[in-house]
Amino acid sequence: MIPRNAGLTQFAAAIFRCFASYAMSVILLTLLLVLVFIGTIEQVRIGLYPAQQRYFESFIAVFPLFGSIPLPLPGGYLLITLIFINILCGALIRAPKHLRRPGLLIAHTGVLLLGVWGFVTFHYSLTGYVDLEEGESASTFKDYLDWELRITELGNPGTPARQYVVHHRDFDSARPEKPISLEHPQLPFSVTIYRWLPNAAPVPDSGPDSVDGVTLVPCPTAAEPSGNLPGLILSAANAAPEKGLVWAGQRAPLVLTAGERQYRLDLAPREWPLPFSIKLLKFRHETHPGTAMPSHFSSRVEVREGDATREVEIRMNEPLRHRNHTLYQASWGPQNAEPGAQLYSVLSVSRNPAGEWALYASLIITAGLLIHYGQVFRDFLQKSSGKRST
Amino acid sequence: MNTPARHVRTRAACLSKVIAFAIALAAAAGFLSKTQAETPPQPSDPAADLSLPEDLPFELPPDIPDLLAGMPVQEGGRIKPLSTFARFALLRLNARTTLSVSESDGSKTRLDAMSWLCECLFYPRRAVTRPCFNIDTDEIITALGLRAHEKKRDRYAYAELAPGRDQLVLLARAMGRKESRELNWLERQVVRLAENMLFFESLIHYGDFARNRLDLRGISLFEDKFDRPESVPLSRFLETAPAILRALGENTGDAAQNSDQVRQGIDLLFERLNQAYGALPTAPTLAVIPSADPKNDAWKHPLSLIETALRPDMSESARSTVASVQLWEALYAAESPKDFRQAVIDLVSYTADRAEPAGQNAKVALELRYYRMNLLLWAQWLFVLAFVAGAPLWSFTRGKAGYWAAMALQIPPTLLLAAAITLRCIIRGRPPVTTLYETILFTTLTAVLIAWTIEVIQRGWIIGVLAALLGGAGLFLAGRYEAAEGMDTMPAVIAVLDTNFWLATHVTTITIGYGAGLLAAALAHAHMLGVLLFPSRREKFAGLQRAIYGVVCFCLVFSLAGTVLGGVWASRSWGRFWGWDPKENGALMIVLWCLILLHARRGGFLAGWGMSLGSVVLGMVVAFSWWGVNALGVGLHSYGFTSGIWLNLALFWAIELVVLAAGLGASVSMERRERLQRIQSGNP
Repeated sequence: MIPRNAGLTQFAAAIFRCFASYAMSVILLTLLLVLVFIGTIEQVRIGLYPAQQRYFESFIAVFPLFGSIPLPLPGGYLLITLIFINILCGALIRAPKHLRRPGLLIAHTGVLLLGVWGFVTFHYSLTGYVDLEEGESASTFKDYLDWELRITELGNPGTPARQYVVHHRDFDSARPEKPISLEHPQLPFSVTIYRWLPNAAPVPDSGPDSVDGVTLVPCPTAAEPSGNLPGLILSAANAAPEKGLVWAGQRAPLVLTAGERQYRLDLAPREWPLPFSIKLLKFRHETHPGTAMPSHFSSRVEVREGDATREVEIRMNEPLRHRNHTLYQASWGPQNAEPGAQLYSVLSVSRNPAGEWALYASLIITAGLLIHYGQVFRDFLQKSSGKRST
Repeated sequence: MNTPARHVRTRAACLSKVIAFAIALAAAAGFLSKTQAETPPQPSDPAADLSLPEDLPFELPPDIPDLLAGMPVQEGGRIKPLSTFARFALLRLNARTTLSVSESDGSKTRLDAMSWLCECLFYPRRAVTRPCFNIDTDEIITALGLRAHEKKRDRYAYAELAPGRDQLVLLARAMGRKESRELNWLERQVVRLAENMLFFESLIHYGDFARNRLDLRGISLFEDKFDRPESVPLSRFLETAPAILRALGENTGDAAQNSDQVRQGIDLLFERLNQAYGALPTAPTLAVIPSADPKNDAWKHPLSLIETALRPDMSESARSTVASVQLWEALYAAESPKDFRQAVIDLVSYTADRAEPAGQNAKVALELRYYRMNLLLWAQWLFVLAFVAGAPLWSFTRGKAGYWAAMALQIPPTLLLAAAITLRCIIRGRPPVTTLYETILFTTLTAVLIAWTIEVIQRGWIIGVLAALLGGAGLFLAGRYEAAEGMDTMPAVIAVLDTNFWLATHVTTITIGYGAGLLAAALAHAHMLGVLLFPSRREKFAGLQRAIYGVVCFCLVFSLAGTVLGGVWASRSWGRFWGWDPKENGALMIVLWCLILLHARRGGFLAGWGMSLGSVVLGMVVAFSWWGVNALGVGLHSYGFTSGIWLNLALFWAIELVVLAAGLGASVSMERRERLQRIQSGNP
């Protein structure tokens, strides 16, 4: 007797066989290879970060073949997900398992763990930076990618200012035909954003979007996220002026007046709290004698947590790991400083729940491959010596 | 005990010191900018009218280049023998480490790098007539309005190029505003020639600080402090100037009132400095004056000594560097070859003694010996010999003696290559691979050793022959790369690379992966060529098929381990394991292609011939990962950037594409023939 859902079972089995097949592995790996090649070449044209977003962090990537013909490709996110499924079905479920030949099973398990690490890192990790001059402290770090609109009430000097913060992803889809309004019960005015520009520059203009003869125009996205200066065009209800521009590079902020109260509007990198504070005690920057080539740069910092303090040296290849955060010596500035000028240190900050999983996964993969190919080589040697003796 | 009056006087003295120093620095800035802005006039008869320094009035004793060769100097952030500087200076200009010159009697002689450098330093008028500028295309020469040689690619003397010098510098400046990757090949040649000409000028004028005398007549501040103010050697000036400036600062109670007078004197002084040493390079890279302070590892060049001398607070230790300048002056003041030789011995021993306490002289002798032994050149030609002699030995002597004799021929070059890499590690105090040049050496050694291992296991002779061929080809490539770059191949490393652990693990592992990948490609070529040439003896090449599979597996393991170690290093230094950086992607591509080959083989889609074709592609992928991504000029691995190799890479890929096409065609043809044979034999 044939069960009612036999067709479905057969279909599921066929899907499983398809995903578990070597053919699928070869196709997916080939597509990934092509994608990696194109994504690498594209970094020259559009920059490292945009290429990374377009090709490796997407489901579908469109490559302009010969500069104009759109060629759709499966994106890195999709391909890696499919490869994960392929390994799960093929190497872990379908493949025969022999305890005497455990190498490939171990290696593929490591690859799956690497995939899990990648997923967690992509979705749940945070990276940013702290820039400090000697003597300065920080208990937050700035996001490399995300920006926030800060509306700060200007009060009397010395009294703490009330601040309202809106993340840029809440209004980055704003368009003139579909503006986004921001309101807060404690704010006496509302703000409507007409345009969000990920990288913008102010230019003189007398068009409808201009404010005091200036408007913001979009610029190509910079190769590195830190090179972008976003901006937005807004209008305010119940406040003056009615129209305004907010740009990340502006020196004088936009100030809205509502009745007798004043509010300043700024665009700034999104800030994340650190569970401790750090203070830069000393920044060392040395070059090889007679050259401008850096030979060493390091930051001596004081880590304060409650009343407890300790001093730590952060240098290239020797980060500080503390409370699930890792601080790395990234760079310094200003880059064109005269000899002897005061420099600031830039520390890169990472918070990743997956931590060192990638390292463990990599060790598992390498161990698996060494076991497997070690056995293959041993068998080969035995065969070769057998042949020679006969 | 400090009284208030004394306190006030001390403050006034300090203030006047600061003002005097500020004036001096301002004037120094003017002096420097003037030096930068001035360009020599275009001479009508270059060799005679280039306003060059005088040559020495006698010929150098023949052993002088050898004596000077071991003198420690500082360049590119590290201490090295002068001969190493000379070697790479000549390589940069001439694309060879020796210079072929025609003597007045028409005979040809060959100058080594040290002899050439000695000419630049002591016989500048002769040096400018030596054809040491290698120019790859005469288009540059004609564009500058100069007379081109008959050969499109030829060597030119400075004197021939000098009339177009200013125009060349202007052109290069205009091109220098572009990003280097936007420059085409010809533009890069223009920029390079301009840089080389300025570099050569800095060499022929290098001795001016010791050769020329300062005229201090009419400068009241200095005139009466010297016995012969019309001809003051730099060393005397360096000794005396700080005291004069200090006294000036102390005596001018009211600095503001005297500042005009001081400024006039200082202005005049810099005018005279400009007259005497105006041709000093503005950014000299060669520092020959050892640091007086063992804790300070920065050596001085003459220009910076002048600047230091004008500081009223010049320290005693800084002043002691004057002795070194005196020794250089003694060289140029020598009146006979004998005096000159003695001056050289004194200078070299003094410099070595000063470098000794800080341990800066420790590796100089070893480096001198390393380059003199020329291990890599010997290894290259011995590999060629092993290939040329080994192939007939294997082919025509069937016995064991012939086989092992051919194998033994490969031992000396392999050992020489390994010795060269080891010596470089000792000299640098680093693991074997820290530069692109060293990746070539290590990749070659890896490929040779793996091939050797397979040959010892299989004993089929083909892989043995291939090992010799790869060894020779690898070292030839290393030589070509060194000549093309013309830069020290043992440079100081940047901060991020200052970790022997990661250099020893990640970089070494990934380079072994490159070596294995290229060996697999070479084996694939041999396999396909063998089968095509000897179709009837196809089974003879089965050993190669097995070897290809094994080497691809080896390549996978090492490329994967290297990539992973790189990720862990990146995680430690940049805060992320993976960033899709071109260099990371290149390594990933090797891993992916190996995985594709192995999965396709396991799935039954690829057999022997297919694996060979796949391994040819592996070679192309390795070439992209090894060289191509460096030429892209983007990403965080900026220390590995290189330029001007796209043409060579494109040529390599084009050849490999032809091989692939031929391989595919042969595959189809063989399959058809086999089917036909089966049909004819009644067994379809």
